[in-house]
Amino acid sequence: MSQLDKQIREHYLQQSLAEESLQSILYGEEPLHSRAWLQRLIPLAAVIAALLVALSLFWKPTNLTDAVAAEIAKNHNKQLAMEIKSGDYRELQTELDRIPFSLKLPEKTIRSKFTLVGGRYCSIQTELAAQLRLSNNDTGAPCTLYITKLTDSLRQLKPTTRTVKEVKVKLWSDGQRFFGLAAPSDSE
Amino acid sequence: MVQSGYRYAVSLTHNHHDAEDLAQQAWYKLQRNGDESIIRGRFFTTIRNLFIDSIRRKKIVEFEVLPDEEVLVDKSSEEPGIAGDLDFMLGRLKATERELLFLHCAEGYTAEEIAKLTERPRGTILSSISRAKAKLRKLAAKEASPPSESGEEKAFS
Repeated sequence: MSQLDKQIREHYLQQSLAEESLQSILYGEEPLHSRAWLQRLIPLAAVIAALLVALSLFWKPTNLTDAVAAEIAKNHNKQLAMEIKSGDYRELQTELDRIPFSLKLPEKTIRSKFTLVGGRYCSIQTELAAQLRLSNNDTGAPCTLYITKLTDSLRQLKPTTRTVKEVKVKLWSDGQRFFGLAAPSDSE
Repeated sequence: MVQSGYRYAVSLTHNHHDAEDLAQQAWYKLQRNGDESIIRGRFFTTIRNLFIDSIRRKKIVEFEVLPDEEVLVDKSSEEPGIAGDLDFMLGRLKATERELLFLHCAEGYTAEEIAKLTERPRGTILSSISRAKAKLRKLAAKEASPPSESGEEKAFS
């Protein structure tokens, strides 16, 4: 054995575990970090978390649009009886006194194309809303206009038109009000 | 036995904390597998495999397989030792080189036994040991030689 061999041997023989560490290995509990399978789960968990964040960031508006359109189409198809039958929005405003926004029909095109028939309370995405029954002046088809307060979540929605279960649903906002107009898809 | 495994882990990692973790993981792994009487060779193999796994995961160091080369056996027992900080110089070697020096010099493994443990040809083992020692001597010589005058010193002289 050369002098260098001896030096290397002595160097490594000087390395030893402290008594406490030795006892821990021999008689202690298995440490968490020695479970390799658990360590392998960490990157997987990180990927899942990143995906969830991406989903919440990019898919929420799309899902909300679909959800609102589906809710409006479903309510429209129920054709529930009007609580107040009147062609005057001011009368509806007086009767539906819990509604904190104007029930005046928006846009000239809506006012010229439809006739107000009556109204009732309803909700969109848990927000209190007014459901106004309209009649198409040309075809006589029953349509429903939903009006609610423009909340932060509804503000994210872009104006769009969807067809859900043979109901054409147009969504838009104006000022501090959000509108959803439902009509039979074959009414035009 | 645990101490030997720990020393082997030190030779691989050149880090006391990592070495302790490695020895501990290997010990528990063998116990979990139902090895009631853990033999040294198996303990060493487990430590080695765990070490390779860890560096592959971290991608810090390539645990390279050395090419089979002409055998350069270090036959001299009259060779002088080296001066300087051996721990520092060992730290400059590759993990594979430290491993061979530990097994050969500290544990007294023959080239045949090391070849079996590391699954490399015996000739490669012998030449690698010789090369690692030469590298240590070169490092020691470099450390012992006086530092050359730097450019900055020259500029101010």
